[in-house]
Amino acid sequence: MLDIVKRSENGIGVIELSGELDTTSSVNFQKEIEGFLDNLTDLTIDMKNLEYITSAGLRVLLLIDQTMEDQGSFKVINVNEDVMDVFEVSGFSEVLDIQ
Amino acid sequence: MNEITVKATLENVDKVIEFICNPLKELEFNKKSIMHVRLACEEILVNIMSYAYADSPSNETKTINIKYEITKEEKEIRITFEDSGIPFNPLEHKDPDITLKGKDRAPGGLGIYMTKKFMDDIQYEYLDNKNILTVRKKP
Repeated sequence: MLDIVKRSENGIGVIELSGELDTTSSVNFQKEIEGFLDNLTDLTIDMKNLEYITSAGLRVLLLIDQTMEDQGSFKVINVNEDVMDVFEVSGFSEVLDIQ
Repeated sequence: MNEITVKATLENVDKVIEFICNPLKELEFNKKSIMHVRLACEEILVNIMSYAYADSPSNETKTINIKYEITKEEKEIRITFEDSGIPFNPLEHKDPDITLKGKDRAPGGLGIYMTKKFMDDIQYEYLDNKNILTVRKKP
């Protein structure tokens, strides 16, 4: 299960993820962000309540990172231990701006 | 030996993960090790379910058989995945370059790579028209 809460104002967007970003929920996540990223110059993903991520989740984060690279800034905050473990082994700890 | 056979469709991933990971909670596997087993199994299952039977006729039986055992001495879990799909050796899959920056990265390849990293050992054989993949992990 994944809960996605997103809001944006004046080009600044925030997405809060809760639950699990796995094979199934990553498909929904990708659908949810289509269009949402348009016109954003600053995006923050809050992962405070994200407990699990698989390669399918990393794939969507890469897509977001590559989109935001041309548009502005993108950071990820409040990453928990298990998710950080996956970021480190996959090299995403160097790809993403994690704060 | 504990064993389950499921249709090779994505809605069965959670069922198999529960079958494998629930017993680990009773053993010496900590939260982190269980997450590693879970992630590795999910990546393996998703690969098989997405690709193994892609070219098979629709009336053919498309299943995955999963067995696990926990060795008494080492308390190690050994999980075996068997499918009758197209031969595919994940160990021959080239590792992605994980030092690349985001803009230079292509999606894909990370599932198998993380499986190799998170498990202690991974073996593949093709026998009697079956892909047989065995992974092992100690607590």
